[in-house]
Amino acid sequence: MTRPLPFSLILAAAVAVAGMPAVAQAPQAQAPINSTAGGAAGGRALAPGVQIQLDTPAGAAAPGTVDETALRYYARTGDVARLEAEIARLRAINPQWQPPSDLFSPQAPSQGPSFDETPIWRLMSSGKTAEARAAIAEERRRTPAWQPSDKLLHELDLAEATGRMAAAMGAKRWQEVLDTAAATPEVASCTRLDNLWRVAEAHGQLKQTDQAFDVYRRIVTSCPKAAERRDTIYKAGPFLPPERLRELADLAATSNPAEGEDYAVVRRALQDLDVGRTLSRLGGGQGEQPTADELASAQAAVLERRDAGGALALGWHHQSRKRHEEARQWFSRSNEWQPGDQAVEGLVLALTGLGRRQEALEAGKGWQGRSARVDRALRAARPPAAQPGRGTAGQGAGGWGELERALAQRDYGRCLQIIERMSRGGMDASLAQQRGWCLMELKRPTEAEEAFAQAKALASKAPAADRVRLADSAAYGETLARLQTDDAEGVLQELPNMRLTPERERSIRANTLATQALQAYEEKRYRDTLRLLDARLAFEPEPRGLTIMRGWTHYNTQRIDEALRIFEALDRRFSTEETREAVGVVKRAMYRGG
Amino acid sequence: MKRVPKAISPAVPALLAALLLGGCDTLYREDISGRLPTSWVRLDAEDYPVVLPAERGIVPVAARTRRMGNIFQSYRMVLPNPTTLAGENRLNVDVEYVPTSVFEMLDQPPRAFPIPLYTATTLEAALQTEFPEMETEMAEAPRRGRYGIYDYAVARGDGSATCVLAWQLLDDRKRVLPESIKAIRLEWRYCGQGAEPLALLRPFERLSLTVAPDILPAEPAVVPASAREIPDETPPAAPTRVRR
Repeated sequence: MTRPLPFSLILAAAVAVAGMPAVAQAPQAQAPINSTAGGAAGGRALAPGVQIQLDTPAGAAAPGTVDETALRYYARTGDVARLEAEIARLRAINPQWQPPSDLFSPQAPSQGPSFDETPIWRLMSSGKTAEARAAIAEERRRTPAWQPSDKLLHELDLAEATGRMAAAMGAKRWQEVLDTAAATPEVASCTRLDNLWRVAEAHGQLKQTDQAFDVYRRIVTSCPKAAERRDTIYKAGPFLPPERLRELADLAATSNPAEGEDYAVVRRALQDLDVGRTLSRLGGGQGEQPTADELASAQAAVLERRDAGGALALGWHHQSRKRHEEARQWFSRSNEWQPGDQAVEGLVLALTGLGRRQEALEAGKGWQGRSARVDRALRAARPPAAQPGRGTAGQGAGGWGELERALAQRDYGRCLQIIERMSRGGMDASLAQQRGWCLMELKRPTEAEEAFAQAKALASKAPAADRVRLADSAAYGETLARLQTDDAEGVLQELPNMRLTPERERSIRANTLATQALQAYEEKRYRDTLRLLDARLAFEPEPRGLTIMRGWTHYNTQRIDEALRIFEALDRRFSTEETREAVGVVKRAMYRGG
Repeated sequence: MKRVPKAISPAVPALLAALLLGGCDTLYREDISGRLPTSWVRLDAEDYPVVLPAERGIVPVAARTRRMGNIFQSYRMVLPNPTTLAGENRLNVDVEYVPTSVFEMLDQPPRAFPIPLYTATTLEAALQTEFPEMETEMAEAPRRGRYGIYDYAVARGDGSATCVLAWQLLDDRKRVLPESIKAIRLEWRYCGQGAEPLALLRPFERLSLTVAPDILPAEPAVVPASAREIPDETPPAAPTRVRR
């Protein structure tokens, strides 16, 4: 006869991250202890959305038959995943054993030896393994008869191995990660899922794809939680080819299903990865291009999620193939979902490609003078006669017309070739400046700075009506180039004496503040980082990369809730490996604090 | 009469400790600036860390430098790029100085450059970053420049441009380096229009380092046989494929 389990763990669906043991404490994430209405022994809210209900067992096993030290510790710290695993382990040792009814009681007496090991467990779980060892030695010196529990020593060994693996991983010593795991096999298990992921990634980094696949397969077939399987698919994404990833997802969705788990999330993860890969291939413009099916699937996903970044990638994909109408539609959608100068730049170029120059000029009006990329696109949209400061040498084939076409196609290498030809009859300020913008696009800012300086010098020879405007734009380009060569300090010193339009000054100030914020973050001056990022917000909306830095700054200053709010908001808008990883790390820190 | 000092209230040290350690970070802040690179500083031409051979006509566009503690000094010299390819041509010079005190020896910043300079994995990643969309190959045999043996890779694109990435670790303190310098890492990234790799490598092989006045050329006698056999004016040995 099968007895119903007297102890049941009811986890709400929100427990997507109850995976790993504590490494560091996050004090403000302490979960309140609640009693549920129905249970005599009560339940305990570990964190929002996580609840354990405990049925009082009819007859608990006699004390001493199993070592409950670790069990009580996990119950006290709210480490759900390890608590479950420990219960399963103790049941395997003694099938008659029942979890004690006072497990979650704050007054639960320590089992076994008279010495309370809790402080040592606490040291260990906050990553202070050396201090834990020292505390054991000190207690043994004071009380020679005392022996630490086997479980404590074993967990300490595993915590030390985990620390070694994490350190090796951080230093990219992939083989050392594998050696550590091989020396302590128990360190990599479902209850220590991070370590299994580390082992798989180390294989992946060492190009041992088969071994990496084996580890990922082990996870998705033996670790029952759907969220963990889903995260494993995401983690495997960079290291496995699409067909093996698909095989892994099939296994994850079907192998050893656990009751109450919804494995549909695994399938969705695979779709996310497929779409992400397609969009990244479109964005990179390198390597094998996506098939029609992949493209259609990506387009559908982008439409469904109203993903502005994805729409941009699709826009450029069509624009580079001269499918200007499709490009126009995607750029319009992107700009509608999340207005930005990149979308407007594309829109201007697509409309120019369709021959709708007037519409192109209208579309770019809002960003004119505020965005270098839109200004550049508008130059390509203007009819040839409207180009300022040009000499007659540039007319016709091989002249401005060809240059505009090169710019509309974003072919900046050809832009340099054309300018080189055009300038044989003499360089003027417009050409020199255009050369500077093309060099910037080719990630050659030092040469671009030279070109802008030349344009500034040549501006004095331009017609009087264009002189100031050309000199100001060249100065602006020169400043942007200097920022790209890490000369923020020099730019800040000269900024008060620069002749810039208010819009351009705002753009430069936003750039310098971003550079300073990054420097502050690297120097662990987190308060300064937030101060500078906040100041930057007055000039421009915050780009995604800086928001991620803002999230990590909150994390590093123990404002875990705020970090989670930022990362989750980013992830909801556009989910990437980076945002998913950030959400996972912060959630784990939050639960560790319970 | 001998004065007996008044006992300090136990609350005072506790209060001080609480202020110092309890999150009152305006009183104490860890200074880690010595372990982080400084901002880049632009260099005048006379302060450039190398002299390039005049006959090759390569005039540097600009150079900048930064330090990490008193141990590492890095220079980035941007060179003209006669192609239409993306990315700057450049020479990187990273100098590792010998610590001048026990404190410096014990508290060194993290390395400014890795040793080994490249592994198969990191080289592949570097080539992909430096020369996207180009065929890259690592040369099987090394070449020899003024300061000894170095390795390199070649990148070729659809057009007529060719690029090279060469790297060299100078750590011969018996002859080449003065006692104040522990090691120097050189990295040469150069793309040329329609040029043979050898022509792109030649300025690198003949440059003179000026970061210290008494850096000497390598002793010809220490050249391994494999490198000595490479005739100076012939194209480099057939490279092995790294990435297609």
